[in-house]
Amino acid sequence: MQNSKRNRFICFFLVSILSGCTTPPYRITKQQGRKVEFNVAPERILMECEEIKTHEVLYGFMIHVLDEENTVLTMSQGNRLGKKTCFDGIKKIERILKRGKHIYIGAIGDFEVPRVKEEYKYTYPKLGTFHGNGRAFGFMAIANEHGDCYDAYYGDKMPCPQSEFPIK
Amino acid sequence: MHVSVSEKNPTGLTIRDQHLRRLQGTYLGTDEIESIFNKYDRKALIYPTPNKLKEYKNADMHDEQIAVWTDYFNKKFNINPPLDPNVVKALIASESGFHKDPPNNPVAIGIAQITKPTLKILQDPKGETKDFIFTKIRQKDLKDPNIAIPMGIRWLFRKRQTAESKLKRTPNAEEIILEYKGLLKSTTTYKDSALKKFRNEYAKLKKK
Repeated sequence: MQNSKRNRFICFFLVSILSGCTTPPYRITKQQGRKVEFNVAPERILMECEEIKTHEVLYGFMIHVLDEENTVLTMSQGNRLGKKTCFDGIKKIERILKRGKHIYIGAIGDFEVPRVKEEYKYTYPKLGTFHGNGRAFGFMAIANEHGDCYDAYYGDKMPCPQSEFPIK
Repeated sequence: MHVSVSEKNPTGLTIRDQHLRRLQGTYLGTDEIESIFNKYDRKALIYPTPNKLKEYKNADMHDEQIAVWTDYFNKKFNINPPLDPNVVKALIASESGFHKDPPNNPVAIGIAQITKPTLKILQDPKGETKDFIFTKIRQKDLKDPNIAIPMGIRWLFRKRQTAESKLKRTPNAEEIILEYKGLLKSTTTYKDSALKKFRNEYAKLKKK
């Protein structure tokens, strides 16, 4: 059952990739309301676990994606994570990025928000340094064309992505 | 206190363990939570806006719990201006995406992502929420939205109080949410991102 869901997702993802004439490094493949699916080259993705100190120490997880205009949009996970969960998540996603050429990202957010040039800058090792564009999305899931996948709320448990994604 | 003199206690004096007795209406256990929710007067209750956060599968599933418990604590703490139930709904959207028990984050539990230290504070009769606490709530109970929602809202009211004391004025909805997330005085990128996300969700709920 889980394997069939996984295979269905891989098929679905490959169709999304192949439906474009070329495979640009950043492309919005599907949109439904504020739900958005992206196909992004791995070198355009950075990740971060930022420490938040309150009466306990927690971490905010973010993915910074370099878009088609070479500005950076940030996808963050709304719930704050424990240190282990946050850094393990980065390791698992790094594996996804290393093994894949086409990276699927599912996120929730608003493209109507106009781009602004933020002070925040992000350095992509192969591409250079770029400014944030002020757009903020909620990170939901990331996967590659081999079916390796990580869901914001369910980690690498299959089926992945869960619930709201992929967009049907 | 005095007790009868015995071989074991020749002085007739003993120390009584202090069991703090709490007045009814200053604490909630699972039974009280269920009973209050079932019997709550729903006349003039303000509900969060339905059919707006369509991106989330279960977005409107807990509107009734949000409405009842926001109203309950608004009245309990006599808050002015009262907390808007849409603030709670937008918070839950950002914390768990309305998943009742997202399993990937063992430090926080349930739909409101209450952490273990927060659960402890919420039940501590001498702690920072001592004026109104919960009793006998176990970690696994937080997987039930019927328990997690009133506890999350109680914590949000506490965070409103701490935000007010930090800002020295009445905090707005965004500031209360930032304080819930421990980000009010933070200067991180994550704070900016979390704030923008909350604004998006809240604006969607408020849009006519």
